[in-house]
Order: sequence, then C-alpha cells, then structure tokens
Amino acid sequence: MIQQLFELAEKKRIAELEVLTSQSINFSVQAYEGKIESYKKTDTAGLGVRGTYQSGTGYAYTERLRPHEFETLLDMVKDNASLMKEKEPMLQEKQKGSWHDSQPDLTEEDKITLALELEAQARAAEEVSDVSYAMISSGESTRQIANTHGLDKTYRSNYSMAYLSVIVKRGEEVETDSAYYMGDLSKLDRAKLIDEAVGKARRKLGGKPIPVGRYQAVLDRRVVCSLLGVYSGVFSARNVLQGTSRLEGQLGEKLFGSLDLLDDPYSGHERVLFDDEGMDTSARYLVRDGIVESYLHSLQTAAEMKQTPTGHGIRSYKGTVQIAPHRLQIPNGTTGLNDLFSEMTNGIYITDVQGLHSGTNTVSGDFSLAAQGFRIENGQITSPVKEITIAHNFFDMFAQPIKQADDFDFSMPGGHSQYGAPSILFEMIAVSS
Amino acid sequence: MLHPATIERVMLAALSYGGDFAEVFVENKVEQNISMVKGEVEKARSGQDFGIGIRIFHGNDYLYTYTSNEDEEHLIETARLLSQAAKKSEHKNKTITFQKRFFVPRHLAQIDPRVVSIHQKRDVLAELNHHAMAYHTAISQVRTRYFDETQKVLIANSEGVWAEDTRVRTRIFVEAIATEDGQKQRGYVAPGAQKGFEFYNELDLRALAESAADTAVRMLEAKPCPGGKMPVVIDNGFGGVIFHEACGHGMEATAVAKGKGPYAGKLGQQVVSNKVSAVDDGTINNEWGSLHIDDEGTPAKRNVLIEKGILKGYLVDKLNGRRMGMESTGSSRRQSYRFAPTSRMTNTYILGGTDKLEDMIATTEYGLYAKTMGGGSVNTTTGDFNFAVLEGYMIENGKLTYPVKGATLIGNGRQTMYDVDMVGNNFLPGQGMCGSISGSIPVNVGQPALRVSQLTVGGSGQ
Repeated sequence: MIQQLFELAEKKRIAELEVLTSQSINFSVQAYEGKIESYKKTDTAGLGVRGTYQSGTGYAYTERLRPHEFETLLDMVKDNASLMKEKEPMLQEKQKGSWHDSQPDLTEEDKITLALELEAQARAAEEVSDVSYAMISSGESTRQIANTHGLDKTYRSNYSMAYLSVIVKRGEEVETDSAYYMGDLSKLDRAKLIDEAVGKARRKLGGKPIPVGRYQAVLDRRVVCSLLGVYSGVFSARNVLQGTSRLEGQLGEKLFGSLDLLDDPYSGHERVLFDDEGMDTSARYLVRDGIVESYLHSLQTAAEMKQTPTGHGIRSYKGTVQIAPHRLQIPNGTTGLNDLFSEMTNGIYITDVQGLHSGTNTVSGDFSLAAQGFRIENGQITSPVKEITIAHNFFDMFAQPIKQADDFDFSMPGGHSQYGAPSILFEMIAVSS
Repeated sequence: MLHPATIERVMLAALSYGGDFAEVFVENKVEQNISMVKGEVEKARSGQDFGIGIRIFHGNDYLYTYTSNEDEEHLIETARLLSQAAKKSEHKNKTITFQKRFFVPRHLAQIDPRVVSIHQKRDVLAELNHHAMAYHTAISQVRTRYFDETQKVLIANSEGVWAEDTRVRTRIFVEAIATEDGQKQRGYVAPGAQKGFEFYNELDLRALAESAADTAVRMLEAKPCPGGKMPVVIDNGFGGVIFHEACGHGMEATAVAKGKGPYAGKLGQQVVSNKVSAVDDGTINNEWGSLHIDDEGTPAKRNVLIEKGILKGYLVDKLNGRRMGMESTGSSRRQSYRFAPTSRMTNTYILGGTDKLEDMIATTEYGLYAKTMGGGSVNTTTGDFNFAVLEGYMIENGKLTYPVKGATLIGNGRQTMYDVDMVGNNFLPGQGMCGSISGSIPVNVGQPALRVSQLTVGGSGQ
C-alpha cells in the first residue's frame, strides 16, 4: 500500500512523500449495578501523508484505506502545499526497523468478570452511594512511519487498564474521585484501587472554604503533573519562534531556581523510540539546576533555529506535525510528604484542580484554578477545603526555591505525552474563596 | 454511503442473539484546516474521516462497536460478534423495512466550501491577520485558523428509521498577542456557523480581528484580579457558558438518569431564580449547534428547560429515555462514529430580560464586570463549576475603574442561578466546542447580560 502511494506520488510530481499509518484495536467494558452496562469493541485504521510539492508542504489523511482514494488524497496534498512558501524538512536517512513491546493480557471473559467484581466491591465500600465508572479497557496499536528517502519504522504495543470512579455521600453532601491501574491486570490489587478512589473521595467530605489570603502550599503530584502538561508548551521551539513563549532568547539563563526538568522517552507507560517524523528519541534535560538547557524541536524548528533536532515532532495521522514532550518529569525528592507538612504552620495541601483548559494563560504563565484540598495547621492535616481558587504564575513559582517530596509518580496517560512529578512545597500561593 | 440491503443484513446480524434495538451510524466527513502565523500559511491539511458504528440495546444496557472497514462481510461478522457478546441465545429475526425520514432543510450551505478555492480560504485569514496587526503597535503576533467540514451521516435503526443528513460547518479563530515590557497578553475570537463559505461574505472580518486585538492590548494594562465573594456582571454572548456549565450539563439525561446531579427528580420545582428562563433549541436556522436530526435520527426540537425558575424538562437520548421512562428530545449527539451517542446540548440560551447593562453596573457598589468569558468545566455530580474571564474590569461605586487579568469564577450550579438578580435585554449567541463522554461537539451558548449578586472570584490580586 505504501509503495503504491510512493509510485503515485512520483507520477503526480510530488517530490517527497512521508506516510504515517496507525491501526488500533480497542476493547472496554463498564459494569453498573451488577451488570455489564456498556461493552465496546473497535478497530480502526488511518493513513496520513505529508508531501513536498513545488515550494511547499501539504498534509492530507484518509480513513478509507482503498487504492481508489489515494488519488484524492495526493491531490489534497498538492492543493494544500500550494499555499506554502517554504517546505518542511523530512528525515533523509534510510533508517529501518520494527519494534514490539508487549504486555500480558487477560481474556475478554476475564476482563468482564473483573469489571463486575470491581464494581460490586466498590459499591459495597463505606459511604459509596454510586459507582460512576468501573471500567476495564485494553488495546493494541501499531504505528508505521515511512518516506520516499528510505525511512521505514514500525512500533507495536498494547496496554491494559482498570479505571474506577466513585460517588460518596454523607447526608446531603456528595463527592467524587477516581483511581486507575495500568499494566498486567492479573496483578491488579482490587482492594487497593478501591481504597484509593473511595479514600480520596471520602476525605473531601465536609470541605469548607478558607479565608482569602496567601498560603504556603503543597501541590499534590497529580496537580504538579497537570500544570506541567499545560505549561510544557513554553519549551516548544515553535512557540518560541512564533513569539508566544516566555523562554524566547532564554537558553542558558537561570530562570527556574534549582529545578531539574527531564524528558525521558524510555520511562512511563510505554517507550517512545522514535517520533512521528521518524527521528530517534533520547533522554534530555530541558532545565538543569534552574538553567534552561534545551527547547523541544521538530525537524523544521531545528533547521530554522540551526539547532540539533530533539525528536519531538508529534502527529496523529489526521494532524500536522506539532511539538510535544514524551515523558516530561521533575525528579523525585528525598523528603517524606508528611515531613513537608511538618514545616508548615498555616498552609494548604492542594489535591485537585479544575479548569485547566480555561483558567491558565500559557503566554503570561498566570493561572487561576478552582481547587480542593486540606488545611495544614502546625504541621498536621486538619480539615478538608473546597470552593476555593488558587492563583499564581508558573514562571514565578518555579523561580523560587522549592521542596520536593519523595512520592514521585506518573500521571494517567492521555494523548501522546505523559508527565511525572513528586508533590512540591511552594511558598505563598494566592487563595480566594 | 451503504446500500439499504447491506444495512438490513448488518442489523439482522446485530440482533441475531437477542437485543431489542439495533442502530447503524455511517459517517463520511471531509474537512479542511489552514493555519496562518503573521501573514504566512503555517500548515494546511485536509482529509476524510470514515467509519461505521453499530449499537445494540438489551433493555438499559448497550453494546457498541465501530470500524472503518466497509466490506459487507466484515460488517456482518462485526455485528454478529457484538451480538454474541451479550451471551443471550440465538434467535431468528424477520426483515426490517426502512422508512426514509424527511425534514424541511433549515441549515443549508449556500456556497459549498468544497468547491471554493483553497486560496480564497487563505485570503480570509490574510484579511483577519492584516486588521489585527494594524490595530495597535503593541500587537506582536497574530495566529489565525480557518476550518470547514462537510459531515454526511446516515442513521438507520431496527424501528425502521432511515435518516440522512449533510452538515456543513465553518469557523475561524483569531488569536492576537500584545507584548509590552516583556509582558504578553492575548485576545481571542472564534465565530462559527452551520453555513458554507457565504458566512465570510456576511461577517465583518475587520471588526472581529480588531476585537481580539483590543482585548490583548487592554489586558496589558490589567492588574491581577482581587479575589473574594462579590457581585459579578457577566456580559452577553459567550458569557452564556455560565448557564452551560452551571445548569446545562446537569440537565442532560446522562446525569439525570442515574439520579445524579442537582436537577434529578426536580421537574416542576423551582431550581433557579425566577428571573431565569432557558431553552435548548436545535432548530435555529444555520446556527453552530443546530441539527436537522440528532445522531439517532430524531428531529431536533426547541426544548424548554426552565421557565421563570421552574424546571420544565431535560435533554434526553434514546437509551437514557428508556432508563427514565421518557421520550427522546432530539438531543442525542456524538463527535463521530468513534463514540456512542448520548444526551447533549445544542444551542442553549438564557432568554432575554428587561434590565439594561449600564444599570447593572451603576447599581453595583463593588464587583467584577466580566466582558469576555473563556471556557469552563463542571463536575456534574457535585454541580461545582469554574470558568475563566478573558477580559474583565473592576466595578467601584457604580463605575468601571480598571482592567483585571487572571480572574476565575467558581460556584455551585444549585446556588449561582438562584443568585441572578438582573437579566439584560441585549441577548447574543456565542459559539464553542463542548467536550463530554460522547466526544467534542459544536454547541452554542448565549445569553443577555446577567448580574449574579454573589460569586466567588478567584485571582491573585490584593
């Protein structure tokens, strides 16, 4: 199929063509009130191309993988390329290879049983009034990237996951929280997963606002990961070039206190061996000891800034090449979480934030988010807190010295990138209520 | 699209092991995207989405599968395997006779975007870019994006429904960045409609570009917003996101069917201030969130949600309708064949009142005027919502005093809409994308200006 496309591209005078194919098979079941309420099984495939025609680069994709669609597909490439003044570079090396990472998987029967057991056991837990999700899902995907310069790489992997979201009720008050497990489902500790989701929801019950003011705050690792997810775009060379990143002209500057920020594509839920332009990836520090060491590059931005490509050109078969980190992480600290609390006389421990897509300004670094958490008084967690907002500036908070706990973990994967961090103590976050 | 005989065979296979309802959804969508940075095209892409979704009901439970492979053999086998998964016994079904569903076309495209040259589409962006850049010397960067899609859908089900539609939508995005003394602020507009290319002949592109640039420039002067509880005046248009988040999601059957959220079991009761009346109307000609038929083939309707504070109705899809013993309200939607449909909003509005915006400000001693809203989100279980203010001003002694940045509004849907004490006469719709369990779909939010007597404003100012 790919060879056919290459031949047709040559006929149509498309100088270079890059093809990205993706196939995935997914399965998920959700149990509710002792029955399987939802059962989904899907198989999809898509094909995205990027081609050089005259002076520009055009993109096109199709989900109808039939040779008679290829004509239209390549005409779209030419049409789109005609709008561009400059072409995007493609990898010009004959790199070939095929990799397969595989995890053990249960039978469909066993996944259904597991979902039912998870739901029944969660429903029976203390103060649980309903189970929003007791879901078992798994999938397998294959990604292939090839171009007319002889590049041809394939990566195949699979995953399995359990996700639980519960509602707890006390009097008229309801709260909700969730927990997930990723990996070999035969090793899933159901009780532990249920305790986590139910425990997190229950401890929020009885939450109250605290007075407006500035507080020392520990942001839970999940919250730190969320903020990293929002603000990782400031390291994108594309945003730097477009004048929408505060890091423009700041390579080598000490902007981030004593922070280390590392992108390690070999860690997290699965390895990223090569990006969607076919570039091999490697671990690299974006920030070391507070100093900005590197931007994230695609082939295009690296060429434009005359820097070394970093293998961060990311696309889906439908999309255009974007820049994103693979497994961006703040390394683990050495202090226990409770030891961080013990340093606080009147502070707050933030466990949840909402409104990340709207309450954050990626250009200025300002954010203002709805939040929940706990009061910390004289070194101890005292009472739950809700109906507050926290506000700060991403650049300012990391410019100060920070204290890291030793509870590093990765956040739930979503999309290409995954983030990892420990909980961190920050000085003086503005709280409104 | 697929032949009726093929669809019938697929449907019979879907019911071969029981099941009391089967549905086939076929989607073919062509889209075009162009993005421009500082007057140069940055990326241009187009493509075709294609897939078939098959859904089976067993009472209140469902099975769903989708595939991009349209071979009849493959579809029948896929449907049969899905049917088998319910672990019921095999049984014979009769034939299904389809009745084509007709409707009066209200949202047609006059100029099909597929026949408009790509260079004309680029010219729209170039014009927007020019006006935004020229607006003020502080404008350092302008990013614009053009989007159009033509989505053909076919929905057939075992009740004999056969419904087809073509939905043409287009939208532009303008983001202006203003820079001063190392500080950067942004302004943003994104109008869209269920129209063809004629939309751009009707729009005032200059006014749009300048309004995005104006927000960015004004915000350079802004101080951090003071936090605390205060009255908030939320202006018209996209400000309607407050009702969308605070109430709308809680009125979707997805939340109500399981007795969850603040509005379950409250029909006929007062749930918000008696100054508030709200509808979800999928029938408005050519609107961004309108539909001829929903994604289950049910004709779209004007659904009254709230009348003078009293809860009058929910937004219901077929499956949740079974759970609630209610009919579908033509509100079942999905992003694409990759999602099973569920109850969602279309164009959701608070209806206009009689108050004037200037009176709302004049009668406020100390508070916030939220001129332009950003997005938001809600936890439908607890009713807690949050959203962002893109452009805001402090009100002191009945007058606007200074611009503020970084403001967020938080509250609980149960309470906030009780606290609406003034409703304006300046109704305006606004377009957005709403994300939920059946994906991301185009919706309109809209309202006249409102004053909420007390809301928690989050900010880092003193």
